[in-house]
Amino acid sequence: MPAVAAKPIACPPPLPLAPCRNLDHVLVAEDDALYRRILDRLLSAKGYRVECVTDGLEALGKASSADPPRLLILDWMMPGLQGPEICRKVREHRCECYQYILLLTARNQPDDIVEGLEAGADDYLIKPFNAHELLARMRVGERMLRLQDGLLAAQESLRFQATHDPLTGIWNRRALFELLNVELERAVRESAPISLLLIDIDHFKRINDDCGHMAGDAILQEIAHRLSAAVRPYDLIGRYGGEEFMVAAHLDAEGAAQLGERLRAAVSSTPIRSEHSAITATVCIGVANTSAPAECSLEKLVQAADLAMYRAKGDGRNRVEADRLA
Amino acid sequence: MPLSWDHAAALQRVDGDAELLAELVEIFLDDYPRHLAALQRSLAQKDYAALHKAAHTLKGSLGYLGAGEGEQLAAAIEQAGQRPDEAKLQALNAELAAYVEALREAMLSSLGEGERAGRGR
Repeated sequence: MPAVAAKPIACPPPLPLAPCRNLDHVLVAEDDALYRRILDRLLSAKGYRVECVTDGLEALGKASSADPPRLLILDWMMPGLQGPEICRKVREHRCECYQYILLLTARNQPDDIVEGLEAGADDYLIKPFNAHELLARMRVGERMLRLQDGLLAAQESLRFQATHDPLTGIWNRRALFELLNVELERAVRESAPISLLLIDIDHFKRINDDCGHMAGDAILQEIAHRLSAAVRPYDLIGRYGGEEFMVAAHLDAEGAAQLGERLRAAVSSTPIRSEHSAITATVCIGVANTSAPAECSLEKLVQAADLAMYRAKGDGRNRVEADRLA
Repeated sequence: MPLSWDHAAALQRVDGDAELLAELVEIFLDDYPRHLAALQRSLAQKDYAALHKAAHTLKGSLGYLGAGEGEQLAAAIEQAGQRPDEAKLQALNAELAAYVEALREAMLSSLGEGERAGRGR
């Protein structure tokens, strides 16, 4: 049987970082042809991708489109919708990426400035403005957007790290239990059966001792990979402990036993090749199932899966054992 | 009154882009008769919202093109439109119209000279 090469070891899975997107995409909403031309020309010359509209409603449509501009330059007085009203609507709409709004206003109207900023504008520019001031304010906007995107990416990266196992990239124990509770509640709500599978690698200590911890890590990664590929997309899979994985599925006893068998075979059928060796790993799987989730608890399910798993170990390893609760 | 247009100040505002400035002047010269007409019409119809809008637009364009006096006249109409005084507005409208016509001459002659100078080089 051909051995399958494990993925490179000790390399954490890639983090889904949101890159800074579309920072050059500018919307100009201005009904005055003169200012529209000025803005278009000055910004295009600096490499911005400029879209011009002449009406407030059209501006709002563009701002909330599938390819939203990140920088909005809105004139105060416009047909359709006025600048501040667009600001309010853009902020209500909450685009996935922050949009920086520069409001254009006429001279000598300090009340306007306050109203515009309160409505959600980030900055304002008083007409008539000169080219340098416009471009400097655009750069401020870009700086803010970069900070904002960086924060979102960092937040997303932390969220990922807090919920995923760094070695295998599947849910970590904390996230697993939070999600298990959600799934159990769903089963209660729908009066549907739920099954829990506890998967423990056979002789893992021996693999570590004989082949080294690097090889042990590679085995963990490959088994996590194979299990993830063998469960259905909507089943839950996480790393429960050192060499233990857990799967939850909305399946009855028979379905869960079949899934357990499929997972067992996925691990043992092909040797796992690391840099220097090919190791045939096997797992024991304890399956717990309940068709009356309202009378069950997560603790009971885990306990039952645990007992079944130990029974499988005692019966000679590379086995699936099931325990049916009420 | 003889009127001179501060071509240099306007050019500075567009960062020395003479081509852009010429284009902006063209847009202005195309547009202003419409706005002046709107001022007259809205005053005749006592449509002060339209008057305000037309004055506001002219104020913006004149301001950008460095025509300070005209900008102030348009601003005065914009403000007077909030507490309508027809006689005053008539006078201001007439003054602004005369100013803009003179500005047009000044702009065309300035830009014309620029062109000649450009060709001479």
